[in-house]
Amino acid sequence: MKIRLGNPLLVSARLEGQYGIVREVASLIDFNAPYCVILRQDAIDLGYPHAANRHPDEERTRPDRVPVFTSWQGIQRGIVVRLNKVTVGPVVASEVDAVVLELQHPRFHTFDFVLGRTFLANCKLTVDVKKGYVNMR
Amino acid sequence: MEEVALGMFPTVFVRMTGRGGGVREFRALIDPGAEYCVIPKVDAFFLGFSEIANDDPTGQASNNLTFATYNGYGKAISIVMAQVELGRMSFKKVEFLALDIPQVTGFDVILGRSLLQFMKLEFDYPRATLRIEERTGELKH
Repeated sequence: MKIRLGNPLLVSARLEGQYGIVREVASLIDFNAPYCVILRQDAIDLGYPHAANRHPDEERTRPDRVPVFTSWQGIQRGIVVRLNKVTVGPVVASEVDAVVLELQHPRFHTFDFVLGRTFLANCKLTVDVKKGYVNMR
Repeated sequence: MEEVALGMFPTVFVRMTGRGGGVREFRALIDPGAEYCVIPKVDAFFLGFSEIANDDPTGQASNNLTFATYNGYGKAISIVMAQVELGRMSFKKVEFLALDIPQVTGFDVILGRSLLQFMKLEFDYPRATLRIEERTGELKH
């Protein structure tokens, strides 16, 4: 699948949550994000009510659901949800972990989801910035 | 061609020449999602870009620009590095933003599209490798 290398780098992804609930979302490809990132409301709508909690509260009862990880912005933490399936073009990944991050301006973004390594672990990406495309397979 | 392990972050060693011939070596993150290359302010200063030290809000440098990431907005000074060497590859006049990166990440600088446009990259996540190839017959100024 050939993707135009825009700024930001966007694709359409199909997320399948609990009970077969499905959403199509505009997604950003982040080559180095350790986790996918999902917006809180989308996680709740996809059948993960614990995403409504604040992460310090969730950590008290379910520390396994609040991973600590390093991104280029430093140490971050958020509540993790396990999506049943994430599909981008021909690539289908099962059991994909996504974290709910408290973003500064979530409504200003042109995307609703970030595709990080928990999804990208299933693909091979070839990047040609000059020609302006990314090939995903 | 270079092949590196993806690890937690895909990093390579780069050697940079700043203004006035100063040279420093850094561990660099390869990030095609970043529009600009990024270097910490203190390193930019020691590479000869003294305007980085200007923190006067009333007399900002003309190369001060605002950028967006998915976690908010930021301001940084844009500088042009005289030369960046990566393995056998060498690139001249590469644009960087002077911006501090948290030390916990384990890398010093970020190589974004202002440099990666001169390379072809292959992220093989299942094999956990990154192949970097120079685009032939281009740039090198």
